[in-house]
Amino acid sequence: MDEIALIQAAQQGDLDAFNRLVLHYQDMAFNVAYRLLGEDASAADATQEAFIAAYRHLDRFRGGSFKAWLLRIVVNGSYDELRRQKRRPQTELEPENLEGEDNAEPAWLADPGAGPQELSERAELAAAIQRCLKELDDDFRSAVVLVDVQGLDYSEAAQIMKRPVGTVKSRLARARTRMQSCLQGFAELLPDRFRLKTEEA
Amino acid sequence: MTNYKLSPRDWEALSAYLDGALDGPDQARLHTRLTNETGLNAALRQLEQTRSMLRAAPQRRRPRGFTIPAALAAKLRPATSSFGLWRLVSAAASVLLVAVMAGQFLDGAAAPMMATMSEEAPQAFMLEMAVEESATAEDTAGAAASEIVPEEADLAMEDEALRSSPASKMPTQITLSPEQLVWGLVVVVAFSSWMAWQQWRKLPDR
Repeated sequence: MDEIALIQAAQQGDLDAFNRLVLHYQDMAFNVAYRLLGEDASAADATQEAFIAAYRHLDRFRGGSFKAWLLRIVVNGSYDELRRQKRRPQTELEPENLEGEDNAEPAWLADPGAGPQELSERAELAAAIQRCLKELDDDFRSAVVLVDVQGLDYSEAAQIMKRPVGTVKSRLARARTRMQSCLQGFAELLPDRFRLKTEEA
Repeated sequence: MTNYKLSPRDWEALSAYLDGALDGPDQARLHTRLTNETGLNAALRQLEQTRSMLRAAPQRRRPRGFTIPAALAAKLRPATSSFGLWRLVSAAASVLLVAVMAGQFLDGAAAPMMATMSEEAPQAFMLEMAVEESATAEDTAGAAASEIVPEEADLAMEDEALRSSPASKMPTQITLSPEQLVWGLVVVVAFSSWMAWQQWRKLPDR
């Protein structure tokens, strides 16, 4: 994919070119929104709105990393949505079982070849991570989602968060230690390879 | 060992070390500490395990696609931003405010600043009004007016006009205290700043 050519064509009004960019980035955009918002429907809305905003304001993109520019829009839109939710709190519609715990989430089962044990472990890991992410402050959550979960480097994360690289480093460090403490609470539910060996410390 | 305490700077260094983001000297220093301090080493392994867990988090499957259909794109005209305009207005108002305040200090005006109209100007204006009114009165004045000497008639008409014309009720001075002027500019600056802020908030990539 010649990204620069697609961006230039999209800036000239070529919708197909823009939609090819959407196809390339939509999984990442949705996952960032989901990690920040913690809910499918809101994340899908935030992602769609982000792509619409990107299409409308494509003339504001003046080079550099298109991925960083796009994810900045996704992050901003997600935090706008979070602020709206805080102003108008709603009852969560997530399905719960009789014990009041979340049911296994079929949306995590992206790999149909995985066995039941592996699928169960993935679901547990995903749920534990999501619960711990929810406890973090916004900037800490952004840092850990962008760098650790999405695998971006520090400079890309700094562009997206509009913070200096040093700030991203320190927030990421604090976010990791908080995630570590939080995930220790789920130790029994996690796969063996992820059980934190605190006794060694 | 379990009482081994790490400072926030230690955690930050460990985190950056994991990502290979430490400078050469800092990395060497931390490496030495890691070989000597088992507690620090254990903390590094814990942090590494946490990072592995986060990296292993499965990607969420998106519930739908997000391409923009042609019908929607047709409705989505490119946004025209007035952000730049409001920023300009705000900057201009701020410069004006600073200029006025600086001017006041430089003048050393302890007394209220008076934006005074010149004494001649309103009188000339009122005379003009009076002459116009008298011109209409002249047509109906009849023979009595013709007995009066022209210069005297003009002066008499002017005096009468000055006393009776609506123009004589106009204020001769417009007074603005420095406080009023400053407050007015503050309101302008505040309003334009607020508008610029609102425009900025609407930008998706702010």
